[in-house]
Amino acid sequence: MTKKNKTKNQTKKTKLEELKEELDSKKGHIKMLADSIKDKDNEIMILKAKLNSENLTTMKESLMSQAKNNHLNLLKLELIKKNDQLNKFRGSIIYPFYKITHKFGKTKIGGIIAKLLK
Amino acid sequence: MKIKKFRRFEQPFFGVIQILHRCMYKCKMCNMWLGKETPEEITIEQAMDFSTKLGEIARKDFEFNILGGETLMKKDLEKLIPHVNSLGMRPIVSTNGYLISKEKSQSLYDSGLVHFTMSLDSLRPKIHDFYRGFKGSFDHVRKALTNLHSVYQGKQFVCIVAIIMKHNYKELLELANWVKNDPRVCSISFLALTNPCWTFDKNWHEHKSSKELWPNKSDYPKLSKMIDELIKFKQKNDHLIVNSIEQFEAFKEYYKNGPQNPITYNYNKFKGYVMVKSDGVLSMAAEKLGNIKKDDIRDLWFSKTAEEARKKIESKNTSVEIIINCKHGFEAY
Repeated sequence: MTKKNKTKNQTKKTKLEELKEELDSKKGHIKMLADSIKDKDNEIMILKAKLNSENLTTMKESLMSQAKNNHLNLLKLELIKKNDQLNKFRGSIIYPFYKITHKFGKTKIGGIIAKLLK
Repeated sequence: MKIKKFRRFEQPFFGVIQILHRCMYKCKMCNMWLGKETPEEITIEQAMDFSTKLGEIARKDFEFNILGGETLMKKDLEKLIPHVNSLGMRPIVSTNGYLISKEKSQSLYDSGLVHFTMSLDSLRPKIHDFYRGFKGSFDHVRKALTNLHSVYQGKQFVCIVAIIMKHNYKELLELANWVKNDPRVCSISFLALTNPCWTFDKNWHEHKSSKELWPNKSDYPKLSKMIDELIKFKQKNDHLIVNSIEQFEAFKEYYKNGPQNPITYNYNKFKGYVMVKSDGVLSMAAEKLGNIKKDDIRDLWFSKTAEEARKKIESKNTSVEIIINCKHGFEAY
């Protein structure tokens, strides 16, 4: 083998070694990035779970407040109905008689008569 | 206690506290693993007391670097961090990542620590493991990054630290590119290789033991080219690389001329560099001032020995190896 060929072979060898080293460090780079992607995925999963749990709690709170509102509305409606009934009764002919008998019933004599009637 | 007015560059602005001299790795560029727990080692209480005193004279944005050995081997480290935070300084913990489990990440998170520096010399597992003298150390960094991310949820600031050495200088740009692409890490800092065994031999880089560490002379043109590429990268992505362009230029000079030669740079900026070793020895850059166990930094910083140390630094008569990696010394004020 001539000297020229020898030196050529040597330079080729060193170049090959350098390329191998470069390849190895690129592999290391990729490994690290793969780790980083995995970690990011885990982070996203945690955040999603957090978001879901936050959503559930907010949903629960809104439902609770809705139920409270509905109950309050029902009570209001009932109150209105009762008021109507009361007004109707107050406007009827029977009401003055009812008031008189009611007041009389509260007196001592009225109490005695009621007892006698019973 | 009266605190004198500071002259420019003299106020402590950057500090390193070596909290212990032990490690589980057997790094080729370091001898910390030879150390054992001794009664001379500073306690967390002593470190807290020192930081309180330092807080009175240090610059407001003082960067409090807690180093080792492996820093996380220190018991009760979690006590020191909130204390340093409460003083308005920024604690930064250096680690090799080995001890960062999910539980440890949680306890560090609870202590209020957000800044980490993590050693990673190469993206090739073989090379990183070789330099760290520990099989699987590359995978430990991967796990540590995952654990930190799962606890901190992206609120962590991890700075990767890579020492420029013979077998990794070709892939420095690849490392920088990875840092750019990986959201779990925020920046990268390159360090120059310093005396691996603290032998105080000026020509340590020519020894057989440094054969696999210090780049050959024939490597220098490629190394210089790589640093130039890093400078270009820095110009495009300033926030990703911690080193300043001036420091990169100093690196070139350092690797070209050897570690024993002074660099052409304004040494005045290193007068605010506080360094504490694991036995409590306090120094300004490489110049010894006293010991934090018995001395008060508020006195030492204005003492005659401090004045002499400043003169030594000014006349470039100090160790380049200590200051070459002091990143803030290379920043413009």
